[in-house]
Amino acid sequence: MTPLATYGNPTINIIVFALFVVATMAIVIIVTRQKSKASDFYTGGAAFSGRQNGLAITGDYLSAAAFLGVTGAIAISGYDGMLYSVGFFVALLLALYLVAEPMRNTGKYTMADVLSFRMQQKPVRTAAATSTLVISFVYLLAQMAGAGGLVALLLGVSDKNMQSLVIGLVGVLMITYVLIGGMKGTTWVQMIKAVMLISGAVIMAALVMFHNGFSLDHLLVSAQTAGLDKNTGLGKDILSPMMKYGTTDWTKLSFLSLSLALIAGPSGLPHVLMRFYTVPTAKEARRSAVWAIILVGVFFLLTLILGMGAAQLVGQKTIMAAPGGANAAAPLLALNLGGEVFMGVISGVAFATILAVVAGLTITASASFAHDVYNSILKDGKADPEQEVKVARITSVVIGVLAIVGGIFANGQNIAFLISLAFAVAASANLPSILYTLYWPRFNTRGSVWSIYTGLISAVVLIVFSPAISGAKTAMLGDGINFAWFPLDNPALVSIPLAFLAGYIGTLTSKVRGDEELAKEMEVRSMTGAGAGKAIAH
Amino acid sequence: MQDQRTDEAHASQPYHPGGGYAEDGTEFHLPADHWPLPALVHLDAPHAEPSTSQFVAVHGSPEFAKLRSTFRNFAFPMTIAALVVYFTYVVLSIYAVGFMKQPFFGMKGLTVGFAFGLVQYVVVWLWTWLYVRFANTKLDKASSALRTKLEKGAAA
Repeated sequence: MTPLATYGNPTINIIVFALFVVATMAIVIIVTRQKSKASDFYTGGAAFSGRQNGLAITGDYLSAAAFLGVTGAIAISGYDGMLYSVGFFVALLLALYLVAEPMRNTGKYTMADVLSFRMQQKPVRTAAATSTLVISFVYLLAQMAGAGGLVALLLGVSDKNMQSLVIGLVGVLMITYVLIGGMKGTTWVQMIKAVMLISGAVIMAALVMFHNGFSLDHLLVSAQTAGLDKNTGLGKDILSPMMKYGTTDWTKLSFLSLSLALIAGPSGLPHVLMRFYTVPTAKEARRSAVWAIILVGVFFLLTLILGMGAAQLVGQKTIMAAPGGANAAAPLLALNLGGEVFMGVISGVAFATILAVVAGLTITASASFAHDVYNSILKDGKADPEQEVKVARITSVVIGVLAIVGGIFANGQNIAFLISLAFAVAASANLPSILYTLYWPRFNTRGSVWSIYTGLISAVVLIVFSPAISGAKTAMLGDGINFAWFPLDNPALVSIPLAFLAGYIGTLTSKVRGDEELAKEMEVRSMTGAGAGKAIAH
Repeated sequence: MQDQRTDEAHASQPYHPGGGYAEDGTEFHLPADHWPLPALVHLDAPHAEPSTSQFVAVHGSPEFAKLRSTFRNFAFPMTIAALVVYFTYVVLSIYAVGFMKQPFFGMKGLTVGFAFGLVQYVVVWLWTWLYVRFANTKLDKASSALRTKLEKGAAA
């Protein structure tokens, strides 16, 4: 076994990577410095067209999990890993058909605006803000783990403590960026990065296909052969379904549970929903969703080639031995295909991806805390604006620091898997309440509050006591500690139905009927978008 | 007090979604430089805010009932159909491994399972195209007519 430092030349890796990151930052700062006039602030200046917003959604959606995580999952788990790319993608259909336009028509600022629209403000807002913060935290943690693993790989750092230090430093760098950057700058990074990420994936996939005579069939067979023992022909067949999840009936159900979390999660992700509020009209919201679906689909199709290519050309053993584990598949494939400079560039793209997603998540979390908790709940909507912004800034630092600590614990886990946990929480806590609010007029305050908390608590508790955290070799705490009693490593199969049930029972048992007029108003708003702009002062 | 909207003190104020508490639930009161809070983007010209009773009146109109049923009769069955295709793929992957492992049309590596996975992409793109076509032709006209009616009515 060669020493770890041979993942390219660390000096070249880091120089290319650093140049790339500095260039991206420079763009952000230049764009942000162009101070907008006060009138721009409300209208054209900061507005993005449907296509631009679609690119930004693509950027938000194609996080480190999509690039590093899904590629790694396919390289290591083969067919079973492909579920991530299919599930992540089909999820957007649910968002397009049922959630995107009504949400944009009804909401203005945070997810809680929609959920509390026709309910009692404080309890529903508190619940929605809590779930937003928890989901953002889990999501951030995954991104931090990914960023740390990536830099550790580039530096050739194999010591766990040193990797923790790297995660800490990278995390601090990211929080700093988030604080000095701007919304406009971040959105630009999202767009530029979406283009670069897809281009990078196209180039890598083309090179992989070139190695295989442009035959997908040849690629799949070669990837399969690479995973089998040369002499005996035995080993893991990565083309067979249930190679990873087929061990017991419980693991099979885990697969089903994962598939549910993957498609239901995105429609409940606060930072993706928020993107729909920044488009001027429902038609633009639709246009941006369509752009996102086209681009995200192309990307996820390519991850199949990238993952299988990594299994064929890099090999599963090398990937698993690298810092970051499965997450190293994509950068190592880049190294194999195009050398250190290419690896540096691809890693730079991955890092920009993480940075932009972290910024997006931080915006969402801090907006939810400042707007929903601080202004609406604590100050009855009369908060001092300066103070509110200050609260938002403090929130972003606090949640960033928490995510760094969590990221250190999650180091080495597949990011796609970590994200699937965030998806499970989003799908359980938010989606039932969103669908009920939009499509069930009778749904009321108690139903909403019960549904959110039941989904949130059951998802989080079941994750904590699942084989994902303890009692298994692949668990975050290893198999030395075992307090797992829940057999599935994804809670969605249980927690989503529970949340729907709680919302239903809560609504029916509540003595207080919901406000019928407001329910009607909301329905008209969600279908027509009337009153969604800025109202003139009376 | 169940709802701020029933509070007499608020009855005369324009209603903003996002809170009966704040007069401006959209955070337009924030200073221009309010990072990391999100930008506020509304291209619509400022317009009068329709009242709840105007919304309720529209809700009872046949135009709205038609718009809503047009949307639901399309969106709900289509969503369910896409979910059925997806979960068929998932469940077959779990419980019909032998079937999914079969070579697809004489290919060696490309199995029925992979082909079924690729079908999901086709479904999503096809469904997206159908939705956009549907929304552009069947929804937009009716919804913008209602919106104009509401916003004009509010200004009057």
